[in-house]
Amino acid sequence: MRNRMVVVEGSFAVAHAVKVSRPHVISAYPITPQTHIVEDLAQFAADGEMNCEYMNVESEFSAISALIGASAAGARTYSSTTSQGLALMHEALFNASGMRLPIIMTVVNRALSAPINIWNDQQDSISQRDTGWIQLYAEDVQESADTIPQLYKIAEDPDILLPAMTCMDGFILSHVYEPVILLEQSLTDEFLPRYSPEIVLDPKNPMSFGAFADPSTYTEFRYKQEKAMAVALNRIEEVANEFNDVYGRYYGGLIDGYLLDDAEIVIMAMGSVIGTIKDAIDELRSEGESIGLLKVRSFRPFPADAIKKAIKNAKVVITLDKNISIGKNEGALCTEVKPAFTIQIFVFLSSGS
Amino acid sequence: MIGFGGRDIPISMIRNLVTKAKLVEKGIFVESEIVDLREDLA
Repeated sequence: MRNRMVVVEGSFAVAHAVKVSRPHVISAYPITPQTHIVEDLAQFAADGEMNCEYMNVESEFSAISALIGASAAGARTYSSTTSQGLALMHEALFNASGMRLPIIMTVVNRALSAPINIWNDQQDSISQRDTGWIQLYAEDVQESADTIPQLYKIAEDPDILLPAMTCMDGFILSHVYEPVILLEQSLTDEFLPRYSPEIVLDPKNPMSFGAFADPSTYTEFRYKQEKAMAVALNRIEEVANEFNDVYGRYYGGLIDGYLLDDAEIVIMAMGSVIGTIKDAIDELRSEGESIGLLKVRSFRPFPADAIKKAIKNAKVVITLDKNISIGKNEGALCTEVKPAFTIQIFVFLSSGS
Repeated sequence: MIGFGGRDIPISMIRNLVTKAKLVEKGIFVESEIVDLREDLA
C-alpha cells in the first residue's frame, strides 16, 4: 500500500532506501554505530533482494578504494561509515572527488577519539568538509532515507559528478525505531534514472583517471570541482522539489525555516537536534518570544546567499554546532555564518542518548 | 559566547541558550566567554 507507515530502525530505513536505489557495488567495513546499515545491506544481497556486488574488505580505506575503482568502471556505488572509519578514508576521499566519481556514502555521525566515545557529534563529517564531497544533514529517519535517492540524482548529474555524503546522527537516528514510509521501488525507478556515465574505465577504450597533473593544470581540476559545487547549489533545490513531486515529501533543499519570517532571534543548526529546537520554539512562541529556526541541510555546498536572505531581519543568531575547531573557539557553522553578523553566539554540544 | 554541554540536548538547554542570547544582545556577555551548560542536563 502506497505511503503505508511502518515502524523500523533508522538503519533499516536507510538500507532499504539504498536497495531501491539499485547500486551495483557496495563496500563497507563495520563500525559502531554504522554497523546495522551494512548488516541489513549484506542480508539483502545474500538473500538475492539486490542485484549488486557486496564486497567484504579489511578496512574503511579499502572500502572507499574499492568503490573508487568500481565507480570509475561505471558502477553506481554505496558505502557507509562513521568517526574513525571516515578519518581512515580521508586520503581517498580526495581521490573520489578529484576523479569526479559520484560515490554515495551515509556517515552515521559519531565523535572522534580520544577519549573514545561511540556517541554522537558531527566532528567526523565536518572534518571532511574540504574533501570536495557534497554534504547533506538529515533531521530525522525519514529524511535520512529519502536523501539517498536524492543524492544519487544530484551526484550523478553530468554537470556535477561529485561524491556525496548524507549525514545522520549516530544512535539518535541510526538506532531509533520510528514510523517511516519505506521508499517504493516503482516510485524510486520513476524518480531516479539509471546511471549511464559517458566516461568509464573500459579495456576497449583505455584511458587514465587521476593521472599526473603539473601545477599549471592541477588548479584547473580544483576550479572545475568548485564550479560543479556551484551547479549543485541549484540542483539540490531542484531535486528536492522533484522528490516532492513524486513522493509528496519535502525537507527544504539547501535550507529550511520554521517560524522564521518575523523572528528576531534565530537558532541555526544541522541534524537531529532540529526537532528538539522546534519544540523549544513552540514553547517560547507561546510565551511571546520572537524566535525561529533555520535548518541548514546542505553544508557543502554552503548556501551562504540563501542563509543571509533568510535571516536578514534577525537581531541575534544562535549557531548550535556539534563540532569544534579547537583553537578557533568556534564550530563550523558559526565560522561559516559569522561574516554576515555583528552578534554571534557559538555553542558546542556533544550529544548522545 | 561559547557553551559546552554533553549527552543529548533537552529543551531546557535550548531555552537557556535563548536567555543567554538575549543577554548577548544587551551586551552583557562578551564573545569569548565560556559558559558551562552541563547544569541544564540534569
